[in-house]
Amino acid sequence: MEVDIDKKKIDWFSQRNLMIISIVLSTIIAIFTSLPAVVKAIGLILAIVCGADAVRTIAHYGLGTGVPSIGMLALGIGITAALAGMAAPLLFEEGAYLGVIISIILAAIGGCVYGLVAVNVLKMKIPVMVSGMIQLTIAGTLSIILASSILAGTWHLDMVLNSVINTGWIAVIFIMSAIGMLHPYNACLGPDEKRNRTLVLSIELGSLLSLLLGIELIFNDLIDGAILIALSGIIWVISYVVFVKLSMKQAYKVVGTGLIKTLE
Amino acid sequence: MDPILIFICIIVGGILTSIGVHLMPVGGAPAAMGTATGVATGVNMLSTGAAMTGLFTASTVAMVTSNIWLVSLSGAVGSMLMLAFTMLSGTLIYTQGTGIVPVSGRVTKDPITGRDFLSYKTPQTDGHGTPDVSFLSGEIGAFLGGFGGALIFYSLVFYAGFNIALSGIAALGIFLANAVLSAYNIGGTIEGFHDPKFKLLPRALLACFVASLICASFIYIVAYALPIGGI
Repeated sequence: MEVDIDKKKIDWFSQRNLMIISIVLSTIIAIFTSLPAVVKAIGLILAIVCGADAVRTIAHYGLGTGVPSIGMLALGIGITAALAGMAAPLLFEEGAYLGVIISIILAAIGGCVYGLVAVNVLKMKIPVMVSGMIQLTIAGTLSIILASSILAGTWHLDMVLNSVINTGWIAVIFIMSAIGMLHPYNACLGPDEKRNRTLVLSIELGSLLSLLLGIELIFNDLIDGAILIALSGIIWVISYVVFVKLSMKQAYKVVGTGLIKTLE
Repeated sequence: MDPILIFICIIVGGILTSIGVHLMPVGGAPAAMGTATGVATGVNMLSTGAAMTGLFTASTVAMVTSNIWLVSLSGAVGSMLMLAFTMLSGTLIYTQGTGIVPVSGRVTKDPITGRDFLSYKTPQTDGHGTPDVSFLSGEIGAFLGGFGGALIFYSLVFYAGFNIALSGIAALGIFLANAVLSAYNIGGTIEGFHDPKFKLLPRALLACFVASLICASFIYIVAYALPIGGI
């Protein structure tokens, strides 16, 4: 499964390390709501990459329903857990930052139960289902919280309700986060699927979501929005170019067909 | 806020969703090549489309009335319309475009109309198109699924005190989680109630009961916090 592992040095980007790094960084970024939108966008991209990695691990065993289902499942649980965590600041004034932690714990419980149900009740033969589902739901929750936080300035439910949910942006966040997690493996799957190519595609989709959020943000906060658009645009272009180059390099052969020829 | 009614509505909605998914004619990728019966897409796309339309109709009706039956039934009708159009246009493309006869691969005769399937089935395939029995089964499935989705939506609006937008996205999340779990039970493809896989329904019901319970507890936290925050 793992491709070019260099045995001599530590693989910082193995699945476990990537999961720990991205979840910890995203959580820290989500807790400090006063950070600029650009930093939050980096947390968002990290969360999406973490989710895409989990999708890759689970869907590798074959789900039977197509890869998109697992992304939808993750965001389905993720959004309810995120809402529950976002509501925490309404309950207690002090220590409101615990909302993120509550969300993550709830998402982990939800993912654990769903994984156990899938393995024990539905008899799915996927050994990594429970751990993968936990990682996936945490990533889904974090991406919802961070994306809402970019638009509303905070993830407290009273603010999010006005500027994210009532405006309908939650639907864009929902589906773009889901696509960021499910699409990379869905697009790259096959016997020649390589982890670096899949993850680069998820970075590309994550920056696309930040770009969209930046377009909305620029009407409220000109400087923050402009920086967000610029940075996510740069990441998008770079990751897209890297993805195309990797695809060409990892392909057996790339043949130009030219324009479509007409029959004479 | 009424915690018991929230839990009951979300769990009943989740279980109805699960039954609905088992009745929809889902063909998946093989159906796109004309080698399996059903609509040529996965469960989650089909049920999301049906649920979204159901939620649109249910939310429109919820603005003028607070009758639980009217809201839930309007959601069911919206889902039925959506799935009927999907299956009809799919069948039109199959029959008129590619010249495929709607045939089930699981039974030799249509259980409802009594039409012969066996002599029209292409060898080496698992059936093709959406035959009458699958169409009818899909409509019943969309009715149950839409009813369940709208019931969840209703409970969020009128029992949990969410506004329409928050209820819509939360109901969609719960619906999707249940629909995908049911999809894992049937392994991606099913033809309708005449499919042998339909007998696997009880374990999906158990799974969806547990899953809905989890979602309902999350929703309860939000519903508990909203009045305290003055929303």
